Amino acid sequence: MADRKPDMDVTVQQGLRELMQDDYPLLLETFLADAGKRLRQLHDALAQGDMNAYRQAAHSFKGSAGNMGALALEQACLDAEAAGVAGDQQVAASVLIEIEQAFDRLQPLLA
Amino acid sequence: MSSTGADGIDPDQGARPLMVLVADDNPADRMILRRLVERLGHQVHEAEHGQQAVELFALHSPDIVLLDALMPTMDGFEAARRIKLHAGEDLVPIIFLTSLTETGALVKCLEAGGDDFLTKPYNPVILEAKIRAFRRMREMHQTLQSQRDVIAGQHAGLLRDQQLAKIVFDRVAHAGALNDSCLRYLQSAYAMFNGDILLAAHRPSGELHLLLGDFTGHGLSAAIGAMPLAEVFYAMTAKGFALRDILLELNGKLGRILPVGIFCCAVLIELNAAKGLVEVWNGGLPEVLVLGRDGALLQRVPSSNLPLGVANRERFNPEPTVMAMQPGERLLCWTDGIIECRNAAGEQFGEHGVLQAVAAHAGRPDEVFDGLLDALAHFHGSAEDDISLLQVVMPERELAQAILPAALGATAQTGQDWQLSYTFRAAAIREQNPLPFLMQTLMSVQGLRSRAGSLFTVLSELYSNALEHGLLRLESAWKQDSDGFAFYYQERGARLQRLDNGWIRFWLDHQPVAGGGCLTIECEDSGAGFASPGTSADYAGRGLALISALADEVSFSAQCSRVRVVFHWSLGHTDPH
Repeated sequence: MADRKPDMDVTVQQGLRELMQDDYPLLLETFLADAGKRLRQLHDALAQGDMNAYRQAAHSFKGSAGNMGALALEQACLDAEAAGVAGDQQVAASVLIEIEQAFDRLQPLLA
Repeated sequence: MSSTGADGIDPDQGARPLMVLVADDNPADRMILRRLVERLGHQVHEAEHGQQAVELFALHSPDIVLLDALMPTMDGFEAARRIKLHAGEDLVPIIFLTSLTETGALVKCLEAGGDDFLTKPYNPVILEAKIRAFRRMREMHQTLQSQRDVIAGQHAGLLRDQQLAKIVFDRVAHAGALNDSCLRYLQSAYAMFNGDILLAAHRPSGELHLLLGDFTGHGLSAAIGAMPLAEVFYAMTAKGFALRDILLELNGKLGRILPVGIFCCAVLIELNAAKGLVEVWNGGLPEVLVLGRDGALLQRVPSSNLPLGVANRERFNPEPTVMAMQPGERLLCWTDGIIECRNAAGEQFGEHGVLQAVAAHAGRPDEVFDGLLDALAHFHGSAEDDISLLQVVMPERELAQAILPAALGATAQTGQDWQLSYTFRAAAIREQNPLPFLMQTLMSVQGLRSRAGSLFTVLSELYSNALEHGLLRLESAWKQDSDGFAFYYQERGARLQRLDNGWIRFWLDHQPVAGGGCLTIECEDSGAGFASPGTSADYAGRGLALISALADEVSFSAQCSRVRVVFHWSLGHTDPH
């Protein structure tokens, strides 16, 4: 974990605030709601052993994490997507923990 | 400019805002992308999945589509295929939004009809550059399409003009006597567009006039020249003018109306089946072949004149080659299309190819026409489409008969009670043929129209006897063989050129009688008188026999320099000949 990416790219975050202006809180809300949905999807997929659903959820989560400047979360999602493609449930389970940890670290940084 | 440029807002100031469709199942990404696109001054419609994207596309016809690859309900690949299908030939750029990095997935985007990619996280500068580039591409495509439509419209107009020209051309070329049983011809549609023309018509006295022509240029420009050509050819032939007179008029008329560089290479033929004579004039076309009854090559008539519409009257030579032709002998002529036909190796068929094909059918003359076409198709590898080929077979004498104009309903004309006399002196005789002029006068009598053929033949015989034997003192005895024939017509031309005194007089008298009329024609010349009618069955003799057969009464003056012919006509009379 020594080479873990930073949790937040401050430049991206600043750019988003400028772009969205008054709508920034709405964007944030939308992102957090979507993130919660993706986490549930990842858990459900893993529980059912549906690695394709797992992969899809990881892929989508990765996209929005990237757009929010959440670098560590994006990286964890990328790893999850790779595990989904490989169909490796063991790795998928451990990466999901990484995703949750990264998401937990991210939330206070967004507000 | 600098302030808007710094903000990155609306760089295409003044340009119409684009309608952009954004399809992404992730709401946060959708929000960011919408705002990025709106900041560039464009309008956005949002779709949450592929199915909705396809529906919104049909509803709003957006200019650009930004499409996420992986979406529920319908993925981006399928949506892209449907959108491209719906857009038809309009260019609607599809930019795939993707964080996919595998090459295989990117290829899949392209195969589905994607035009470009935009990777997450979005880079506003790259997004702007892509939208701008696709807007320009779309505008160019639209310009291209509208120009293509204009060109297609003009092309369709051109085709319509050409079809119109072809219809007129066809009517011109087929108004005549091309269905005569002694003719066989092939004229392909393409040849016609290349300016080939084929005309056939009968003189009132029955001779068949043929014209095979090849105009420079093609399409409309060739068809334009064909109109006056056909008009003069048909009108003068119907009035009974000889080939020589028609050639002079055609050359003069085409020379006057056609621009420099447009002219007509042509072969003109007069086929006189009654006398077994043929006249051929070749100006610029490939040589005309004369084949014997056994198919052997007897003679070639190469071009010895300038094409029609090139030379002025002084330099133009309208004298045809005159040949005796036996029944069953045939003429073969064609335009450049045949000899210029090329095979896959680029070699020309050439006159050599034609002569070979003719030689290959020695003994089977009836197969020459098809044989030549077969040889050509074999050489070319497929049926050649630029061909004008004409075959003329001299018919049996008894089959040859004057073609009579349809009889008009003759009504009693008591006003046709007149007498006139024309005397043609040397200068007039050298320069023109007076017969069409006399025929015109006679045709004013309705009752004589049904006998126009006989009348014209009789006038022709009277005139040529008076001219050739009375004034020019030519010997009929020379015309015993083909060499003599050539000599006779050569002498005729030479002596006619030198003629400086003498005269030929026609005296016409028409009187109405109960239910009809009576026409008396007297022809007299200043010569010493011609051979008495009983002498022999040579050509001059046949001429007089012909007159006796056609007219109701014939009598000769003591010196045989004056002939008197009488025609009677009555109402309801149908020509017995």
